[in-house]
Amino acid sequence: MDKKVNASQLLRSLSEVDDIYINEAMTELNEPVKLKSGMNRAKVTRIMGIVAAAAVVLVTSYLLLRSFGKNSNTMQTTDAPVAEAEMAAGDLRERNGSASFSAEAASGAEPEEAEEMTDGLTYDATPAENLEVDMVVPFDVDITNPVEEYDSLDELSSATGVDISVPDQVGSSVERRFFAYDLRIIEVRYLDDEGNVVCAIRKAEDLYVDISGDNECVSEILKLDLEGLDNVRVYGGTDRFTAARWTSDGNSYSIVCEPLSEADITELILSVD
Amino acid sequence: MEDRIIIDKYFARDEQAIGDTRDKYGRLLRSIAYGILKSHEDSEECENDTYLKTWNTIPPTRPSSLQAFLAKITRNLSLDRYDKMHAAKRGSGEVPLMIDELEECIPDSAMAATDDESDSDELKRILDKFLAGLSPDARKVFMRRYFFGDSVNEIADRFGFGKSKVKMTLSRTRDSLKDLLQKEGYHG
Repeated sequence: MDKKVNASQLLRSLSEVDDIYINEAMTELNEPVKLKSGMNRAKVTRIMGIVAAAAVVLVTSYLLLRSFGKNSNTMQTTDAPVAEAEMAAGDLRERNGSASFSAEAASGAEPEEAEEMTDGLTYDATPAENLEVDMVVPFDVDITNPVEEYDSLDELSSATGVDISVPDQVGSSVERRFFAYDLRIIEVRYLDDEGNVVCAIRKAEDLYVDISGDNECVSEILKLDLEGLDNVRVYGGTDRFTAARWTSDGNSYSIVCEPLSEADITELILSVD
Repeated sequence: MEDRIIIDKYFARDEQAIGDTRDKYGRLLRSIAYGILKSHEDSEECENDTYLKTWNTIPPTRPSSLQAFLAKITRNLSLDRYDKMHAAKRGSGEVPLMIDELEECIPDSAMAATDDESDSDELKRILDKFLAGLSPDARKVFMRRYFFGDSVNEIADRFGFGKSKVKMTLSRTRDSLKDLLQKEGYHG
């Protein structure tokens, strides 16, 4: 009987779990990228690039088959349109300068740079929805890069209308770079003297979704009570944290960084506005 | 309409907020209630109760996710109604099945649960930790079953999995939850 009571309590307590899991379960087949333990982000980015390229080939194949079918009453062999589609996809790739455009360009990183990220930081700047947007663009339309880089914080803010105040330096960083994703999410990226990303701070106005792009399963989630900020959570394990998410005044924020202590990541959160 | 605008209307005490909420989330809320109550009439009443409770809760609460906020309210109201309807005898539908399945997760050492708030906070903490450690697929399947009350067939249809895969995933996930509850010293 005790177990039955406890099971009822367990069922009830599920109403109190983090909103993230409830919202996630309401998504259909739009599954997030699965990260196996030990699988680094650059590897995932490469796989996503291959998948995106394959999708471009499939979509163009479909479009070509359809248009070919409309213009001819004769039976078609599949080889010719597929070959044409591959050529079209090749042209697309050539125009965009990379076969894995969607994943790499969406992360704002050159292929070499994406490789470099594997050394220091588990970091993925690729919102999955960007990939889907790329895939449904008709093949005869130029694919625009959803990521824009700006020369300064002021330029970033004036282009997007999103203001952010961030520290000049984080940890061992020696350089800051400024990005906007679809002009909705802005990001300040901190790099060390070897070009490795040591921290990325993001902000989006009027978005109540997780904007961190971080899907890493972690062993520890800590909820922090910080004045003026809502739903502050830091993610990591064994007292070191590599990500933080919070909201404030209707804005969403995130940090993805090299492992920091609770005190250091709290200080970093409080330095962002 | 963006959630922020709907929430702002609640804060401004604009009754249109309820209409906007119904337009955007009514169907979802009815489906959550129906998953538990299996009655269209009761589900609609729970949906309406959800709007009233939301009206009375916002402000002061400003939910970070309106969708999840509403889902939690509807789920709790539906479970309350289910308990009232079946106080004297075992009910029908998915709830008794869910409780039977979740019994498998309870460590043998557990004592009867209390209404103590600290116990419930502790259980919430363990559940959050447990969910964070699951793969996205396993987590979605677990939440669809035990948060939304979906049947195995509904989950299989939703995600395009075979029924046996859903059953196996749920079984393994329950085992993992039992292990974690034991490890965390959950005693009810």
